[in-house]
Amino acid sequence: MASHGIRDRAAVVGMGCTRFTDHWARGLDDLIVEAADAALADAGIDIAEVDAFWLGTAKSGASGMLLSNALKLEGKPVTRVENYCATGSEAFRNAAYSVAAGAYDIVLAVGAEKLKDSGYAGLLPMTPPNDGTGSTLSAPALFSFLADAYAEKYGLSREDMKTVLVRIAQKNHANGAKNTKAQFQKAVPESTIRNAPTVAGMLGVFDCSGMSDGACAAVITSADAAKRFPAPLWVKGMALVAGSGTGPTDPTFDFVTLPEVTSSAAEAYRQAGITDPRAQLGLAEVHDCFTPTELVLIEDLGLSARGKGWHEVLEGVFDLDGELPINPDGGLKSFGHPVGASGLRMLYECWLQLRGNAGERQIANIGAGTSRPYGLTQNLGGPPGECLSFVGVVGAERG
Amino acid sequence: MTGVIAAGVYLPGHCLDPDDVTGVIGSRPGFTSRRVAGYDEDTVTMAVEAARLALWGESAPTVDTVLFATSRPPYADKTNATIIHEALQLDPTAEAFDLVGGTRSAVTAMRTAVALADSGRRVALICSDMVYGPAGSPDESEGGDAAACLVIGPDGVGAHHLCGISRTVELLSRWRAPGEAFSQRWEDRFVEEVYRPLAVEAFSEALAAADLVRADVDLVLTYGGPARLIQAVTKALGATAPTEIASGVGNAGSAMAPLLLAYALARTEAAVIALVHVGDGVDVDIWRRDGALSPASADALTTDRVAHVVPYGRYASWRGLLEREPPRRPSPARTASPPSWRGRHWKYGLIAGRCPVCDAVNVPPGPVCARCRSHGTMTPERLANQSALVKSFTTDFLAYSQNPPIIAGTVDFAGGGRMQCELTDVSVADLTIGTPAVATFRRIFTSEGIHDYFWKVRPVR
Repeated sequence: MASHGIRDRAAVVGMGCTRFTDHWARGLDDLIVEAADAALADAGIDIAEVDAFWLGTAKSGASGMLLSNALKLEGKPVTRVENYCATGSEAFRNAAYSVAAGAYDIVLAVGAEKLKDSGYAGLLPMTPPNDGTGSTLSAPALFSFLADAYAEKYGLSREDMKTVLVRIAQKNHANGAKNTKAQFQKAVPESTIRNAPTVAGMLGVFDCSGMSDGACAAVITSADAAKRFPAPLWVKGMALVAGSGTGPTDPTFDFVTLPEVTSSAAEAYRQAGITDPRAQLGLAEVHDCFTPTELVLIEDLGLSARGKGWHEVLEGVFDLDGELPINPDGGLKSFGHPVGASGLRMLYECWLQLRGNAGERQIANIGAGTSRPYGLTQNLGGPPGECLSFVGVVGAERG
Repeated sequence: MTGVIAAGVYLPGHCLDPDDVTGVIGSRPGFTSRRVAGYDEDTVTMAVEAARLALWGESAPTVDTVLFATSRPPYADKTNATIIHEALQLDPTAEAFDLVGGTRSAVTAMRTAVALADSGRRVALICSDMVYGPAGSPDESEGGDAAACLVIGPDGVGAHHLCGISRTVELLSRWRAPGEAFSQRWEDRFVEEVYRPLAVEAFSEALAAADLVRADVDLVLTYGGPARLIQAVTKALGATAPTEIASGVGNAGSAMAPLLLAYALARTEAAVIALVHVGDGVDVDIWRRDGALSPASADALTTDRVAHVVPYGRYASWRGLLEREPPRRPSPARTASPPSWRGRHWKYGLIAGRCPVCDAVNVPPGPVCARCRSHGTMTPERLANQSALVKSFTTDFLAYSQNPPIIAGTVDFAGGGRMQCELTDVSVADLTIGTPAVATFRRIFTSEGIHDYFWKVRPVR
């Protein structure tokens, strides 16, 4: 019994991503087709060459037919997956396993979400018929516990903690300003972020990720099939941990760490052979659904020592021109968070950055032939204490 | 001897400030302070709170019959008392019935309780009401929201019932058709002139039936009708104004009969107590004190729970007098019957599970222990009667609520076990880590005519 990983046995050879925004004029099928066509064009293949499809969507419909119908496929296997906000990563993970297993040569993973047709703010709960005793809290409230707990544990005043959160939002908005596919493409002044209306606890409007529509797709091949493509991105490690969901009722759970993230990161690093992520990663795309989440993730992923993350955030270590850029594409915060697409969108930034195609926001000296050939994606589903975490590592060189 | 064993009175933790009301209505209401039930309370939730005060002081309280009286039942065609029965986790062999309608139903309930106790049954008589009307109405001004419970059985210790005498008359003095939000009243002067002589007559007959003279009765309390009528009857009978033993409560409709008797026993020395109900007739009940109530319930009856002023506008939105823009979120889906039944001990009784292997309290209980991961049946662990401490809290402006924003947090119970839940009867300014708290039975929301009942936590004060 062991987890083996599929290092270098699957490769990303083309990707496409729609803009993430309020796509009032476009439906889910339009978004799926745009992302799929862009990915296929990027890889330079015809859709007929794709052997199988995975669709990740959390809230926009059910079954693989959402994709087969949108693309008018015939005779092809399409699997729909869902794993809360880590749905996009789940499409990627399962698609990659299929080629690594030798079941298919070329597959397409698509993540797509249409959130803005509901007319409501924030993510809507997905609850089956129930006894009415579940949590009634919104996601911002559940994540606001992280900010209070972190400040308490490391002795930050409420004001200092807010400054750290503001800094994270400001960074991600600044990054999004260099991204034409982002939902929000403007840098936001510090005072605007700080003085925004409260949503929950310490969190204001600018501490929350953008809700948007969007789709993202990746063409994934087996190692053999990848030979015909220039500069593939290799799957180095992938780990998913679904927690027992007992955090909120566990008196030992302290809301300053997400154990699911720590364990999924350790496994992904092990598979990828990463021993010093801070030094080896060229970028990290992490699930900044709310600003305190990014802070906690920085520590859980081993990118900063426990209790030091806040200080390094303020020092600019994770800025676009910092030592290890985090969310160079703007993250969930300003790229937007069409749930099912987000995990693949994180991969899309690795695809661009590690191959030197990120344009205005290109990070220097990362990718093939550098000391930082790896990119990380961390995708979270569910709130603190009752969540699941995906961590993926991709690399620009085959080992 | 058949009589009262224990008593509990629940007053909601909110009150109205007359200055605040004056500012909105333009004329001054008749109260100095009146209690109002919270947005998440109704007559059933208040009934549960009153009953737990009466019953949970006992080590092993047993009840054979639950009688629930109210003029505002949350359900019209469903027994409300079964919700109370489940929340109190009474034995399934105990019966539970409603007596709903005008305040006279509470008198009937009280006399029925005595009769059932005479036949050997231990009865929880629980009367609960919310009295409100349009903004500036007499019901708003004179009314009150409260619940009271008397445990009456063959082994009574506090007081026993000497007699119950009634006069019935069909007289339109107060009415509310099903589905109407507010009650209406006929002119007070007419009502007063009909009832006053009737009350005098019934009271005299009651004295005779109990073989007493007026001087033998230490305390006469009149209740039921509009304030003017109560004043007139109080004067005619040489009675005591209810406000003297229950100040700041207001006329809490159906709750008044057990509430006044409980307060009379706990707060006065009166040996013989007469309760005179006026409304749809006159009902006189005379009780004689035997001894002390159970210590736990007596203590709770002598101190009023602190009430916090709720701004009149917010109160008006609670009662539907002021329609408030809801959060931009979908209304909650209706609560489903089968899972509510499966999880009834958890949902209604707040019964968690203690792991028989590692002793961890699992909230809620389940087939696998959250700590030691062992599989098996857990031992029921009641959280509702335990003290608790607030460990964290947050304010949620986005989530759906009948009273946004939601304040929620995690609490640790004294016997172990942590729960993440809504905090109620609270403002963030009152909260710190470590605030003592207690579970409280509340109505979370209503959807498609189904009331979602569950527990929240409130600070102890």
